[in-house]
Amino acid sequence: MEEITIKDSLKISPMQVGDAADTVQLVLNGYLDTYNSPEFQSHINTLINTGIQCIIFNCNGLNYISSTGIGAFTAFLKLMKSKKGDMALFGLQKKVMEVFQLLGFTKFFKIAGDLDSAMLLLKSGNVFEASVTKKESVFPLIFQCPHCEKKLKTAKSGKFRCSGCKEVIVVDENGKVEQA
Amino acid sequence: MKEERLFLTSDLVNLSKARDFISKKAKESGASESDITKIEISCDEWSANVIEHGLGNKMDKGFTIDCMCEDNKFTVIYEHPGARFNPIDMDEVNLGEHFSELKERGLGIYIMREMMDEIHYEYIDNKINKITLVKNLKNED
Repeated sequence: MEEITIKDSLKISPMQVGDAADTVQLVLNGYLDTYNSPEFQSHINTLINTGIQCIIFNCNGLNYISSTGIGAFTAFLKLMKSKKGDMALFGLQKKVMEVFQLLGFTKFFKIAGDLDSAMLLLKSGNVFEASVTKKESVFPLIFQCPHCEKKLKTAKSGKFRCSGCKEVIVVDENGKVEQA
Repeated sequence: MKEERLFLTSDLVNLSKARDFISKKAKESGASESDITKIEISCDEWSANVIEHGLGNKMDKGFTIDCMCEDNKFTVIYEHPGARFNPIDMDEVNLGEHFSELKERGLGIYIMREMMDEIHYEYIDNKINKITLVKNLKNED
């Protein structure tokens, strides 16, 4: 897959991840809404069907996502799982993370603060099966502080103080992270 | 904030223009970042519904958006011509079913109901659909 810009609104730049031929990092720049989601979905589906096993979405440059955009990621997750593959997202901007949280989708996706953490998550347990099939815990959970965006990790739900900004954060049993 | 109106043609490319207009007005009204996000995604869902279902992607048609704020109540009013199209009549989403099946669409109206404090519908003169979305602003940021 080569770099592509969808409808002048979302640029997708593929990057190799180490030596892994079946893993790709896709750097997203722009927004994802009802206007461009169908085309975005079509491009990524084509990529998945070429035999890619793991996709890591770099969302540092993704400045907006609607429920349709999250629906596209949901579709990828289902398609990847049907092919025994996996996917993760990292670098979600505060606003984008908030949409995932508000809609309760954080428990279905492997969401990390940076590329290394995303790769670790891909090597770890299966969030999709844990959340949907087995109804087990989403912990340990790697997340961004909703106040200062520092990457944090917790093994359980509860009220915590961020080690960076010292603000209080609440993590519920579904892994939903909120300001106290 | 003085009341302002935006007219957009029924084209999904205009979703970003609607978002930019509404979030700018919400910010001018002193809404917190969190409230701006809730207002923006709720309105985005309704804009998409109006364009895709209310006006059927017909670019010779369009809709208006008015924003105003009074007593910490941020109000967005959508109007578009055509057949009666009332989101309040639509079925409630079964979230458990939605998540267990990981459905890809269908959360739009749920989002509007959850993120906004009031939703009102009027069908004016049997030809204009008017939706009023209200957010009570909180000073949390």
